[in-house]
Amino acid sequence: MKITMNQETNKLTVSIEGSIDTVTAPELEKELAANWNGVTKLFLDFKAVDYISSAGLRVMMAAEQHMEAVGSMTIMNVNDDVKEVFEMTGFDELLNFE
Amino acid sequence: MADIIRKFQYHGHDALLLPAEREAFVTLQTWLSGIADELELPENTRKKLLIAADEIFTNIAAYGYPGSGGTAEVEVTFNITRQLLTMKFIDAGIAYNPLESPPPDLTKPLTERSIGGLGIFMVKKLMDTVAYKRENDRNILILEKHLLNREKQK
Repeated sequence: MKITMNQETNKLTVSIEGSIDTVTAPELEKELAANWNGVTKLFLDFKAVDYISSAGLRVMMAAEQHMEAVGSMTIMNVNDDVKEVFEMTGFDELLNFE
Repeated sequence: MADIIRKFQYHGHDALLLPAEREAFVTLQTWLSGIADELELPENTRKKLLIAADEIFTNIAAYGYPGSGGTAEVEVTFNITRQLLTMKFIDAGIAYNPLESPPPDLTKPLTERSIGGLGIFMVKKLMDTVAYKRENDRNILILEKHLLNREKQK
């Protein structure tokens, strides 16, 4: 997985490339937590995400909970296969998409 | 007529033997991706197999061998006649039937949801059949995916 961060004042855009799986999800979680201080708008760009497993969904849930308290989190550019997983698990109703 | 079955090998072995550690999923992922390429599986099917494998392997790594190390074996076969792909996970960890874990409550608000059972819930949705048996002190989980009607898939 490759993670690219782009911060403009209180807005952080995180572009994720590859799979958000059992091995890479903890890395993503660590990177988010290390960079979201002072961030009120978090954008996760899923354009290059291959797939997401429950370990990744767990990170989305934790990130949403954190961001909900201080601002907002939006997931962008979700492909059909990833969307299918969000819908199958009901996460599509819990997260914000753009 | 008997079905024609192809068994995928890993460096000459009939199964991929992995340490039951989360990090070892990378090896499993690479192997399965190679198989998906060989069988020219649709992208959507490849991703479903990888997610299912992630969930099952992660369960074994997390709960299979509490306090000690162990291994997990993965066998992949493809029944050419029936266009049926089978992934079999075998471990000698504590007896555990993941099919008995309660499904997640998807109706609860995010903050009240417990995440347990989500992985296996996904596996059941992603695969066509999931079966468990305990044999010779080993957990055997068999996942099947039909590849018929390929043209209807993405």
